[in-house]
Amino acid sequence: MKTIMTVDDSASVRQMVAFTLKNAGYSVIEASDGKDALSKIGAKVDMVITDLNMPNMDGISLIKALRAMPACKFIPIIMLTTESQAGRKQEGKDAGATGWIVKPFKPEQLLSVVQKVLR
Amino acid sequence: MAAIPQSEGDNLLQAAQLCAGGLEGLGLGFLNSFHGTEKDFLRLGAQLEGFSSRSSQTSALAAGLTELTSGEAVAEASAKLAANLERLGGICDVAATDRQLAELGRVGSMGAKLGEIMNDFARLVKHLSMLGVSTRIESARLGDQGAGFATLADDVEKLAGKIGESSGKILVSANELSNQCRSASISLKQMDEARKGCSISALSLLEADLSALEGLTRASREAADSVSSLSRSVVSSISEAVLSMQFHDIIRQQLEHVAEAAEEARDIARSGPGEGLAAEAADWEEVCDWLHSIADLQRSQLGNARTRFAKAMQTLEDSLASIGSQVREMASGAASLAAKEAGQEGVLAQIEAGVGQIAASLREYSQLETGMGSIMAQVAESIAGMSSIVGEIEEVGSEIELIAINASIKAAHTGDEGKALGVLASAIQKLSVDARGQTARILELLGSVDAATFSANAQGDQGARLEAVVSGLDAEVASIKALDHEAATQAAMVQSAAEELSGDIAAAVASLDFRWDLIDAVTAAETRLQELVDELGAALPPGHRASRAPTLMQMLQRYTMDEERLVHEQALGLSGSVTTTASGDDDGLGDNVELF
Repeated sequence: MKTIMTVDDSASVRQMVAFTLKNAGYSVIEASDGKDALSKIGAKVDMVITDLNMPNMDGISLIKALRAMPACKFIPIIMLTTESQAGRKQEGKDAGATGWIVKPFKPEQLLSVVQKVLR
Repeated sequence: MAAIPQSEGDNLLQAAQLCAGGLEGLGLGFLNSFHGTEKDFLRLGAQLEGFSSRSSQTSALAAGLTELTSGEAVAEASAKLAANLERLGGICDVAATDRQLAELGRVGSMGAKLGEIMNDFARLVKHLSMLGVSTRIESARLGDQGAGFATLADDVEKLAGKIGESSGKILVSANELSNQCRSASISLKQMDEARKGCSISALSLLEADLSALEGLTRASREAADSVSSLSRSVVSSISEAVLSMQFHDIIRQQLEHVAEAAEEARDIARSGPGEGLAAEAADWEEVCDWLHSIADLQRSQLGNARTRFAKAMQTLEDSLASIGSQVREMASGAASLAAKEAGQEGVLAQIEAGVGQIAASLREYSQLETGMGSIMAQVAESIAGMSSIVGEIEEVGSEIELIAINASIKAAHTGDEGKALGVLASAIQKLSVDARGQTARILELLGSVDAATFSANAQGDQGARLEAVVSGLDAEVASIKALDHEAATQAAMVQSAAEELSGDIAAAVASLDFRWDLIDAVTAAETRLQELVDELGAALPPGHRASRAPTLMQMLQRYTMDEERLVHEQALGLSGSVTTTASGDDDGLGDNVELF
């Protein structure tokens, strides 16, 4: 079973992401911000879905930190945010994001993305 | 706070002061209300997860029920019914009954013919008796010479008695046989009627059952399609609900940005021109103009957030209600396959009753056939008994012949005096020939009937076949009963699960009322902002100088959503700064998804 980490300061968004992924058979680890995510990340995480704007450590910083870790250098990292500006997307891409989803998402969309990047 | 120039008028100062007061704590009202909804959203999210899981289970149960009533078990029941239909057809072979009736007729007419033969035997006995008497008279007339003929007379009379006794027995047996055949024919005809009646009702019932099973299978397939379609609708409704739930987080950012902007506006109003955030403002007119545009913009942002939140909540309510109604519809459609409808038994229960009725009729018929077998055994026994008696007569015939030869020899020894006895000896010999002829006729008659046929019928292979069919039907009733029970149990589970789920969903829908506290709080903030906009507008002189507050540009930078930027641009009459960020949907993932 693949393990996916969802990072978002909104508990209800984490809840919806976790619900969608668990329903499809994935194991989910929740983190409330970038700092929390780094403290919980381990070799067992196959993918990260992170928000952009969060307290303590934002999504871009998290991606940079993860990419610096050998275990997370090549895992898919998807941004899930309300932010839709091209500049911010480019920033995410430069930091090492695999893809970008603008909130709100539909469960089937999220699952399609997960299946595609985990293939 | 900077000094207020008299030329700018007290009303501008007063409007700014009112604005500062009005903006004080503005954000706290709706933000507190918003944070108050967090636990409600988390509860709703957990409930939604439960609803999703339970609706999937209900779908699976409903699908299982439709599979049960359309799948292998019903196909097996149909096949067994068809097989029994065929076997019943074999049992109801009318030609077999006709053959039995013909056989019984033949035996019956044989009884009548035996009666006639026995009449001839009676004449023979009479002649023999007379010959015995004549022999005794002649013997007396001859005196000492005819002494040996007295023994001959005794033998003749004794033989006449034996023949009389045996033919009497045969006559009784022949009469019994005729009666048995008549009785057997009547029973056979009654049994045939019963069999025909039974087979006709069995055939029609079985055909009706087969047709009902086909109907059930068809209805089950339709229900399965409906369950499948409703399951997809439930998934779609859950998807809509998940999407709507995210608006809690989406409008949070918009509300926080409004609260932040309101605080900045309050600081501008408090500090006045040339101070703090209003450092670039030339005078109170410009400050009030800035405040006016900021308040108006935030009112628009709040209106946008409220509208989107209310719409999302309505979608959530509709989605939840749809899940409830889809689950109910699914359960109702599936359960109707097994449950009683409008006072009628379910299809499986009807079939179970029909098959049970057929089995009972066949069992009654089997009893009739057992009785018939007993009659046939008696017929076979009577025929065998008669053959044995005929053997006795044959022996008597041989004895007559010996007596006749003995009489002829004695007559010859007696000479002329014994001529009369020679005539008697010839008559006795002729009677022995007659007796042999009659015996041969009886044997021929008995030989024309195959007693083995009756014995076989008495043993009743038909009975065994019937028992096999009845046993098969009993097993079928048991399996259909088990199927019906299982279907009814599953239907009850589906309905119970659906009712419980739709009840919980209805409660969750009712609990969505918490949204109104937030909507009311946002509306109150909008109203207050509108009042400030009106007051500032009234204070500003006609044709006042319009300038762009620097903080407005900071706000634009702060936004994370296109929606906020669009509201901002529309409120301030700007255009074109919002770039199109849609990724296109070439990959089929949606406009809001982009993979790098």
